[in-house]
Amino acid sequence: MRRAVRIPWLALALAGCGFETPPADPPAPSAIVFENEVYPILLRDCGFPDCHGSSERFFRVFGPNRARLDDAVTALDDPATPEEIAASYERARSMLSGVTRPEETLLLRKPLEVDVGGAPHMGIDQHGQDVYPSPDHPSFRIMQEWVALGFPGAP
Amino acid sequence: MRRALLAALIALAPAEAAAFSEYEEFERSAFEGGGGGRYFTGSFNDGFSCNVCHRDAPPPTDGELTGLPLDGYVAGETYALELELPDGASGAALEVTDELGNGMGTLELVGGPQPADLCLPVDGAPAEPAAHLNDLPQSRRVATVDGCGASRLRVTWTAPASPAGPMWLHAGVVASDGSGDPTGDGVLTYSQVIAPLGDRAERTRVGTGCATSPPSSTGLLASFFFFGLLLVRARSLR
Repeated sequence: MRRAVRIPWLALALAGCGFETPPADPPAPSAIVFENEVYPILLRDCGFPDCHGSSERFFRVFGPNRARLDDAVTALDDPATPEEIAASYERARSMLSGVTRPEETLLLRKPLEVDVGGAPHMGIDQHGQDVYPSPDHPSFRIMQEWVALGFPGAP
Repeated sequence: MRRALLAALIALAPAEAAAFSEYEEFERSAFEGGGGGRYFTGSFNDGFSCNVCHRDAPPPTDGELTGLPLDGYVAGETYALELELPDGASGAALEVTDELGNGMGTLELVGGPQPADLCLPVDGAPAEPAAHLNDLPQSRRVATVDGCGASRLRVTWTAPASPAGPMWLHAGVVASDGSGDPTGDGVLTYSQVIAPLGDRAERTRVGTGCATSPPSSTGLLASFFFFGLLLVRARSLR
């Protein structure tokens, strides 16, 4: 009986919230802005060999003195190749999928402290701190602006 | 436009060794393969240490840090610190901060470098000092030494003029296997509290890093237990 009462309420609540369906394809914010603004940040703060340079993680960033896309043809300190920037872009893009608002994307939630809206993240530092202590961090804001380009209709 | 020009220049430039063999690289843009201003001392403001890149070898055992006022610092007092580098050291970085990562006190290199403080001479040129000071935002000053033949890093640290609570010395040392990549390198890290004399300071604010922070087995067991309790409770409500 209890369950029978709950189900219509749940349906009403979902309808009232304007339950949105995420797009089938991941958003595609500007690749140029990514290369110029976001890619250097991801290299600096995420792309370490033990973190998102590791082949054990799906979200990877490739670049000079970090993980290389193809060790056989690219020396560790060679400049970033177009293929590496493109691969990093696609991996970053994949972290925007499955949601309807920029602030819900894993790319923005994972590096942000949980108490300011972030999601649990293994990439905490030696002191238990996540990458960005607040959404006001300059690097986070750059990423936020880039992600927003992929959600043009979002409030 | 400027960035595009820079990228073009990099692409056209002859290949050069831009690996993290010298601390100048830490100031360079990450886009060019540098550290983007990060020095990886493991301090509160730059919480990753050398071990987010260098790995797969045990920490060296022959390095040593001496001169810290372990009984407590006295305001305004100057202390001589020496970081003896292990064999095969390719570099080390050291700084003193408060719990927010702000630089505290004054770090200076010891003047009058001796042979142990110098790089090996190259092509008959006079040997250069291996240590450098790097001034960063938030009053941070990081002392670095390149693994170019020096066997130690000597600095003085002058405590703030008035007591300013506990401080932390953070340092990282890489002992390289010479392969030119970060694998096969051992890392030695220091994270040492420096309390004001007569005070007891927090001594446990040191955790783990990127690859070493999965949930513990105890935590997982506890999670299963509480999840089980929730299931039982949910069933009893039906």
